[in-house]
Amino acid sequence: MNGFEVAQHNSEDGITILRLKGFLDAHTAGDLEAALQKCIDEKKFRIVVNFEELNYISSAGLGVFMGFIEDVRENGGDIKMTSMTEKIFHVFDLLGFPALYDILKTDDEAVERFAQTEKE
Amino acid sequence: MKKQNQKDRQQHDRRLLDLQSLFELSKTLNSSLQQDVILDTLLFTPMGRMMIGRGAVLLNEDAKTCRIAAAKGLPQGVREHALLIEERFDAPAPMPAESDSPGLTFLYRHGLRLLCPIHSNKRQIGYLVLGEKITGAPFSPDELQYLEALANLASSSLENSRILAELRDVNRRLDKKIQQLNTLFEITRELNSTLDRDKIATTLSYAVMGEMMIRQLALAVREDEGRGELLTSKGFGRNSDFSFIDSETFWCLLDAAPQPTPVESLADDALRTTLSSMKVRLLVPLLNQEKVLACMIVGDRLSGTAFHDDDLELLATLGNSALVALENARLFRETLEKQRLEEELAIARDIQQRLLPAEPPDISGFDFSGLNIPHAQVGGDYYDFIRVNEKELVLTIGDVSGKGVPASLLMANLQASLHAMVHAKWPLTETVFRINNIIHANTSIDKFITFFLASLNVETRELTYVNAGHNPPMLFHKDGKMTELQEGGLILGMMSDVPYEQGTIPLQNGDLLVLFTDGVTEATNPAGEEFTEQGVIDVILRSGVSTAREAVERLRDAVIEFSGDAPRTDDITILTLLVT
Repeated sequence: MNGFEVAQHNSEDGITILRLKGFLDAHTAGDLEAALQKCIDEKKFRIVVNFEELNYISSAGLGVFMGFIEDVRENGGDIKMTSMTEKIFHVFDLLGFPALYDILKTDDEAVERFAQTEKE
Repeated sequence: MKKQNQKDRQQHDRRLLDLQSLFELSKTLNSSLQQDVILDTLLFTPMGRMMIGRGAVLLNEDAKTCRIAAAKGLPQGVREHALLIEERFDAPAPMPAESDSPGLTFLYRHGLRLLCPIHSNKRQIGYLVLGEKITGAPFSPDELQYLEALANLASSSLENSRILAELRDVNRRLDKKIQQLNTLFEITRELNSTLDRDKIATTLSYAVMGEMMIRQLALAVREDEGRGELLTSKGFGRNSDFSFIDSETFWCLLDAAPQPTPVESLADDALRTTLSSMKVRLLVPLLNQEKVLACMIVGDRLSGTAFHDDDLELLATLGNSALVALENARLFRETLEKQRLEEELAIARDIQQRLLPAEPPDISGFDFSGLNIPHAQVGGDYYDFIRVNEKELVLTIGDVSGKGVPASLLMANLQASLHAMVHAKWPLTETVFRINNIIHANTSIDKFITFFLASLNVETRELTYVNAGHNPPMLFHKDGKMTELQEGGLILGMMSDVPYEQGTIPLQNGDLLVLFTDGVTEATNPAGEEFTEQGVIDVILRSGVSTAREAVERLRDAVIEFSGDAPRTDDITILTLLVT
């Protein structure tokens, strides 16, 4: 079967980085949901999701991000997305995500973006 | 002469420069498919060459309407402005100060003085419009020629870029449709692979939320009597109150208009207010066989854009495929439940059959036989032979009111009570008195038992009996006469502390005692007639049986034959005793 993994890594500046790997579809969406729910429960609202090793994403996968963004932003955080392959970005682009989510090249850029908003 | 030469030379150089610039321009235009670059080139080139302060490019939306696609030296706001131009121009012409076309008046007011039509394949696709030269000098014929050439060069590039933009747009829409189909395909596959209601609901929610960038989504299913159950809610606050789904009003509202409904158009004020405060934007009822069985409660889109018709269509399609999966899951659960019940009933039947005697007793001078055919898996008829001691055999028949499991439970209760009491050496009347009190205490008023209990003294060949409201057993004598055993009292379970009387009858050689339940006498034929007591008498007298078993079988066959195709509705129990 096409597997899916989420690896969580906490950076020094209190930012949580989730690295996604494999296939994210309706079947595996629950795993991502659990990982994001864990961040919320632990009050980690500054989240970077790294898509470098993600091979496939379906609408259901995108839906999970929709389910949490409100909660995260209300708590002064954000979900920023990084390192998408062209194929993955294409799906996000088609459904209009770039207008409403920060989609960046690298984790460092995302961390920097968090630092900037912090200053403001 | 020299002066003239110099002038010619200058003019020649100028033409060369014009051609050079046209050549440069054509290279730039042909190398670019981006409309902005083409428009900028088209404007900046003449503005630079002729020192013009302002200019714009208009592109035709249709034959008479143009849109300002690019503007230089003009206020920011004019871009995208739509202009109506009635006149047609075939070559560069001065902008008329007065015109019936509001578009031309608008352009004149903004200081634009020259109008160069842009044609592609003889079709006008737009205008290059320019202001005055800063020097104030008029446009020379050469310059006008130059501008015409410029416009013609740009036209094919503009046309190409437009086609490309259209193509990109079509491609993007196509990609979006493919994405939707993928979602539909994936969700259908996923839904078909599970019978877990929560999983179905979650799969639907995330697919819909991702596909349309919806922040909140919930799914409610309709239960009996206007109640509702919330299967899932995503993105709504923890304290969101969904109690509105638990009302008849809510579901009736959806029944009345079973299509996706924007919250602001709901007629019910209270519901509209509740839903608006929860940021719900849309209710999408899900139907199966034209009945609203569930509802998607759809919140805001993150982009804030409205839901279009094809969005609503997709929502309904996705929702309905989830509903089919939910229905499948429900049917599967019901089938499982039914299977389990049937298995339990089979076990109950097995238990009940063991409560009835496996073999008739073997006592010399007497021949016994018994038969019970339950109508359903389990029934309420009872018969028994109980050997109390060497001298005494108890035989009994009973019929519990009602059918199925409730009747069978009471029958088991009767069987247990009797087996516990027969060894107490009480008179039969005392035993029946006590059993009546037990049954009365254990049942409601509408449950009762017709019961016949007899004790056979195998030495004296005397039969003592109590008939508590049961169809009177028939004792057939050798000479063809028949005695009904009627002594006794009230049926069991109606009243407590009811006294019973007993009857005693000596048995003769050749006597045949036939006991039965009303499943025999009240069996109906297709014409609706009953078998009746007389039917029993006729069968027994006509057949001249020589064994107890033969009597049972004759009676059974007669009842079955009589019933024909008419549905059987009751248990059939027959017990016989032949004195030999």
